[in-house]
Amino acid sequence: MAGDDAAPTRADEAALFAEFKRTRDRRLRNELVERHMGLAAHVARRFGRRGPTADDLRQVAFLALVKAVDRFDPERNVAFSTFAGRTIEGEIKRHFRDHTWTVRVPRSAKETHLLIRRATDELTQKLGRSPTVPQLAEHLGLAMDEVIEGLAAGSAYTTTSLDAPTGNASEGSRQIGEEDAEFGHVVDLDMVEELMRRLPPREQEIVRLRFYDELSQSEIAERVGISQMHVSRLLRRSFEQMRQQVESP
Amino acid sequence: MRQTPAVSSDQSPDQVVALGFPPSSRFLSAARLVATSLGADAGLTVDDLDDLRLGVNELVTTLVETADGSSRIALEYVTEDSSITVSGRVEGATHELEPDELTVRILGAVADHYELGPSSFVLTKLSTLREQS
Repeated sequence: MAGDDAAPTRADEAALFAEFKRTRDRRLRNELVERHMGLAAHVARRFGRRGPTADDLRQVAFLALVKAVDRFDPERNVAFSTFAGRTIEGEIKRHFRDHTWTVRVPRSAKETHLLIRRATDELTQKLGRSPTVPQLAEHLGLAMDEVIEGLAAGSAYTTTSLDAPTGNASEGSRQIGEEDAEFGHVVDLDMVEELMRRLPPREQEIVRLRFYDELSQSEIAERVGISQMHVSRLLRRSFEQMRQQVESP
Repeated sequence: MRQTPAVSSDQSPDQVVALGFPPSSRFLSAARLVATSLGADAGLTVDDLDDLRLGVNELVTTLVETADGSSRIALEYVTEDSSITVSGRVEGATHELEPDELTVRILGAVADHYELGPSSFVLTKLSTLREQS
């Protein structure tokens, strides 16, 4: 590392940066970049075994070096190598945060649930069928456990939309051990048809397609022209509404 | 339909996950979470997992209603290649399972196979991928 930066003296370097600041000459910028390529490679190597290929990291570091040259102010009392090192390191960390699972802000179960449902729709379109959990995990850059927890963040039934503001007892905030709101069966006569007729027309159609035509959620989504996430939500809501009607006719 | 369903006693122990809890709806989410995790492991798709969770919810709710305070709910999850079977029973049941018509409809829509006994059930869900291959 030191060998790359040792050749030009600090005075030479300051003069070059001063000229570049004045002229913004691309040839000069390229020269400054080339002089510090070793610094970029050195910083990239420090992160080189953390997931993405070393080539990817060198590319990120190189682009960060170009940014550092563009932004560097020689009138400030900071060595370019210090400024560039921090800039390159920041870009690499940002790259990790955006592209890998190693550095990532934790999401709430509700956020993950919504992310998963949207990704399910995307992958269903792409694959022509509902995706598996490993496929979702790979698509979203999440661990399998996170996908499972995100799926489980929606209950069997959900009265409140997961898109609704928090504060109600939505499933996204439900904890294991809380009383399930949908609990409570009542023995009844064959009144399913009657219960279905009390649903809004679109929900009626969806429940009929599920009960009688035995279509999957993805197939219903395609038939009705809405997303699989929406079908899933409408089915759960319809089942709960029917259950409530049984209990409070 | 009312005979005691065959449970998973013939399965290798390393394929069986057991969950036991008091007869309370507080534990429904635990039952669903385990089903989701093991079903994902068995290769079920997201649609399949949604169905599985609905089915487990219906059946475990029915078991809880059948149980009294001194009994316990015992669930067994058995995964095989591209399928999961969940069996459940009430230990010390004093009443018979009485699923309502809505439960039967929902189970018919979401399960590939299910059986109900006096105080037990078995539900099987296959991966859509297996059905397509």
